[in-house]
Amino acid sequence: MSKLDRRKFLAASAATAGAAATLSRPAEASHGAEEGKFASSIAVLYDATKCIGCRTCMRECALVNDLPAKEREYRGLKYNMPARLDRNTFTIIQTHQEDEHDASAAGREARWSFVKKNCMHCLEPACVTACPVAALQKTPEGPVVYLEDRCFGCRYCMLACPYQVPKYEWVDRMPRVRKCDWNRACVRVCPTGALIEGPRAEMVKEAHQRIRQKPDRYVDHVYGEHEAGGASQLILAGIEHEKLGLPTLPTTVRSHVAEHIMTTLPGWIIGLGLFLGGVYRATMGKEQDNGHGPATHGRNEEAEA
Amino acid sequence: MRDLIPRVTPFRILLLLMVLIAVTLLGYRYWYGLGMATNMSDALPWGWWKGFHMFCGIALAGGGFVLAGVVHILRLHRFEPFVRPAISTAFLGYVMAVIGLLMDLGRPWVIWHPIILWQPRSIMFELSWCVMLYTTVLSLEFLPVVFERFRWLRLMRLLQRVMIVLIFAGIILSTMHQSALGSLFVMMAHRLHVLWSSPLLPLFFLISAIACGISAVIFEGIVADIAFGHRYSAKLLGDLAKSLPPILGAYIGLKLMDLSSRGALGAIFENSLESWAFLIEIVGGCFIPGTLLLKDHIRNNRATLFCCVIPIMVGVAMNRLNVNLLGLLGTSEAGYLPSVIEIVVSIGVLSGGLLALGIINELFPMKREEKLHATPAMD
Repeated sequence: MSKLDRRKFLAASAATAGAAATLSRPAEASHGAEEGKFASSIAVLYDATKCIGCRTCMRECALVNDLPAKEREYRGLKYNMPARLDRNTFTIIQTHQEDEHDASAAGREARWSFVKKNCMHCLEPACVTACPVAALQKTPEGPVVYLEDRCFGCRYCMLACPYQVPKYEWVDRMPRVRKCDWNRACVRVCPTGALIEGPRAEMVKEAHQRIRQKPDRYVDHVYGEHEAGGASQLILAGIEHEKLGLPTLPTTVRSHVAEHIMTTLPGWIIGLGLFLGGVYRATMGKEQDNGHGPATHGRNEEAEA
Repeated sequence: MRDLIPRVTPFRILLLLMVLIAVTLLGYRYWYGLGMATNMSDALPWGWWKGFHMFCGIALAGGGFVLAGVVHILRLHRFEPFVRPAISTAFLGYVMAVIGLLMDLGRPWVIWHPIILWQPRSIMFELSWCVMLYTTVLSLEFLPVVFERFRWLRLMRLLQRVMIVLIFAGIILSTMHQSALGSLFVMMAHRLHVLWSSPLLPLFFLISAIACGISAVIFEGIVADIAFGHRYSAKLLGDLAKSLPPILGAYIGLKLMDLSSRGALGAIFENSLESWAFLIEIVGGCFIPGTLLLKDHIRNNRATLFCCVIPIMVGVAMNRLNVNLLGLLGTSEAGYLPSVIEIVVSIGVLSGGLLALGIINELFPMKREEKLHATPAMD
């Protein structure tokens, strides 16, 4: 049985028969089969070791997207304000400093790093699979876009996203889901070249080349290359990505399991229909056997009461 | 027409008052936004309203399809007296769930979008269709009660011709709906606590909804006995409860198989809030009542039976809230407790349901009038 067949089989059993899947390992979905398809789509490579934390990207993002930016928060030395992505912050530069004790235990100075966070623009986005009305869509060029007029506000995308990126306008009469829409204004204004963009295959190659050339400078991992099936945003860093608050994710695409469950539905409808029909036919004689109708039977019960 | 005016009792006035308070608070919620009225946040975007109305409410409404199947497909006709109350409760339950959904959705005025904007890879898309179609089917299954009340016999005969199709469709749709509620969380494996995060969630949700639905029908039967005089013999109630121990047993077994296959058995004893919630749900909500119901004298006594079905309903409701809220809290950046408004509005919706149920019981025939029916037991 090929790997693909086995996966489909497991997902199907998980949805219907159940017990079969429990006995084997639970269904984990496939590797990102989409990486090839998106090789020439646009990707952005963020090199945290080149980032000086000036937050020009945040400012430009707020300007271009017409977000009510609090200017003072994006200037000066008050880092981590705002602390995380929110409905008015589509991208954010966070600072991370290693714990002093951990560092001295490892016999070196405490390391620090900036990290830029925004929508990863996954190749197979969980939010796109989750959305019941296709208000979130992955375009062939790379971006995952949000179409406000389709959305009815179930907020399933917010829970499905492994990076917890989509945010909501909670205090609003006509709320929207808010997130980075990949206009790449941040890339254009970055003064240090920490952000570059290009075809995804080239960006991945470039990232690996940088690691090869300066192995001391980087953690040997291109975050976003395979995470959750791959993303259009790639992150290089000098400190383990996990410590920078980027979640450790499997290379498999979780939403495939949900998609497989959906593909089992016709089988479920036909199977259950046939089963119910079979039972319905099989019990047909019972009414006649009783001699009296079901209703009289019911009345007998009541008389006993 | 005078016999169509319901009695006015102090209790009903109290219920109506709760409904009016809820309506006022909902006005506040629609005017100022979800965030002002509820404690939901970006960290936990699904709160009490989804958990209570969509997840608990739909599980409690599971009695409708189970009883329809037992009586009309399996033809265990002695349970026929339960069918009408079960269908009307399920219908009311679904209407209340839809109201809950209208409160919870960010843009409820486009709730119909899944009809025209298709995205058939989404579990939520399946759910939307199940809710729409099954609520329609339930309303049609409820109609004979109305037709009988007003003696619209021709319409009733017409409906009875397609009734078996409706019953088949109803069972298929509600099994799909109950399991899809579980499937929703298959995509949240990165967030959901290991005790609940399973690829078998759809199956668990379906089985527990069957147990919960049957318990709710028994519960309602006993309450109706008290409120409207005796309708069901203790033996009949006990016989219906006979189905519970095997269902709960299979559920516990599957849960253990699932946990051990995922290597998560140890998490039961990790002595955290989650592990205790899980234990209460499984031991208190399944194992203890399931074992007690094996005994004839417990099953065939209204008082003890009542005390057994309540923990089952509470256990399943807890399971839904555990999956929907508690299981996600551990990986959430901020905590969550429902706001006063969320709770009061829920109580208001529940009061509305109780009020409607009481009035339906008072004004509409909950017992079939056999001489009006051409075909035996077909509604």
